[in-house]
Amino acid sequence: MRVQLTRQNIIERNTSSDLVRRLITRPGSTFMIDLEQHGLLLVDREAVPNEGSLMLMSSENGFRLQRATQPGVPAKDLWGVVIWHIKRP
Amino acid sequence: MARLMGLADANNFFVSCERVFRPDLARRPVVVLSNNDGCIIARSNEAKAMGIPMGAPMFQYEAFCKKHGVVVFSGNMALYRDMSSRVLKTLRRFSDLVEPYSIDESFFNLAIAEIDDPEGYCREIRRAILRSVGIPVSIGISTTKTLCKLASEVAKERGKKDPDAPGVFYLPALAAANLFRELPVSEIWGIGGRMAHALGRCGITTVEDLLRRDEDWVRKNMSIRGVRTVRELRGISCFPLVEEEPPQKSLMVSSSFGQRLKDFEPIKEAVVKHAAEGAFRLRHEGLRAGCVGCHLRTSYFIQDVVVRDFTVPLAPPTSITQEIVSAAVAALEHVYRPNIEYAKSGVYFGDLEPAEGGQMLLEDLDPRRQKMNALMKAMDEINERFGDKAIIPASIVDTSESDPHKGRLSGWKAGDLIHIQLRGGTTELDDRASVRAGAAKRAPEEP
Repeated sequence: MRVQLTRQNIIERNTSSDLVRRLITRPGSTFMIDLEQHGLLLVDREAVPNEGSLMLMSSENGFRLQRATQPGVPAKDLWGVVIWHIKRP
Repeated sequence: MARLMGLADANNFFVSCERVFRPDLARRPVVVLSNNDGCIIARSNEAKAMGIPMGAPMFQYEAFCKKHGVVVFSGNMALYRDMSSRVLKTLRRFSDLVEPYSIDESFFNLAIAEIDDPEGYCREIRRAILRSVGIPVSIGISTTKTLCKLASEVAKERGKKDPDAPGVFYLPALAAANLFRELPVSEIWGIGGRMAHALGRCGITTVEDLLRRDEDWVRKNMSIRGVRTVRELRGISCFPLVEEEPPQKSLMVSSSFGQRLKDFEPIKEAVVKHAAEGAFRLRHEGLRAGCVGCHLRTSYFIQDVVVRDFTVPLAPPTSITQEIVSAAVAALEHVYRPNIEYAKSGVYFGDLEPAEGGQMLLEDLDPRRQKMNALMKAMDEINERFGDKAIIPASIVDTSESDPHKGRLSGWKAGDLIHIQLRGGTTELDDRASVRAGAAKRAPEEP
């Protein structure tokens, strides 16, 4: 029985957890959304949208993204605020 | 002195978890199935209203669900555990003492000096959980756990009838008498069907009937637990809030195979998976095991059921995945017999003890073992960050024949971060496209 864990993984772990700590301040309310070839979104349900924030909206028609044009969007459909969009260069 | 406490009880928890990532299902009937898609273990209010009973075997409702558009999910415990820990995280912001009672219920202390309006405070807790995690909870407030439990049921029932109900119900011990007049004893936390039946034979059907008897009668006719329950109904706390869960004495990880298995290799794969999951649970609880055993059995639906067990001691006690997996495989080699069609395997862990703060072992000083334990910690951290399967022992990578979930897995994976894919379905496709387009069009500007 062998566990596939090498030194390399440990180095990765340090880099990764530093990165994750940097990106995510509220792990309890932050979710990762996979957009497949369009990358990843980190969405914080507790973040307050500012003008220009990218918001993940949810309704009975599913999810959609919307840019906040003014503060105070209808809270009803707001699922969370996109805090990072990660994609390949 | 009556100290206030609360019980936060998630509404239809498993269904609510699935709905967080499927807003389109907000008003549709939804059910969640047990391991192996055997029976229905969670129902949305809509599904309850259609008369689908709790625990119903799925095969009996397959046609019904299709006909009435009931959305069916395979259970995804990893997701539910993750969501449960998020609910706890939020709850801990509001109370100094939180006692998880089950995956979807937690008692918490409300005897906090600054709280002058406990109902308002709990409405705030409810809003915070709904906002940060997306899970609706019902909160019962009272002075004993038994009364809190009742109060949360009242809150839940009111919420069913009126979606705008506050979801919070305060039941002072003195005000409970009205409720008790009609309430059957079987509705009380800790009074099971058998006890309710026995009480019925003594002419006791409602809680009020029960409270008319004095404590001597209760002591003679009910268990010690019964005496405490009755005291709690009178507002005297007998089950205090405790933060620490009592240490577990043993742990079992098992599942039915998706199909009957005869050959050693696929069975071994399942056993390795169970052993690794068990090792992770042990580390998660801060425990290590003194022995590990393997359990194999054939289907209960054939004649001559074969059940076999074998236990291997672990010396020294350990929670290191490799050590546990190789002991579990050694145990399997003892129990396995060829040419038998097995239906279920399990791995159990005995003689559990705390990994730290317990007895110090000579082996704990061994640098090789220290390194191994550090590796385990690193592995758990990675898996916590990046989902259950980010790092697993090499022999578990294959998930072919022994994987029980095939048909309906919801598609979400859970870790500390939830990894959700916008996929599947006919109507969703458009939404996924719009999400994609939106993401592509509105990529964040370069800093």
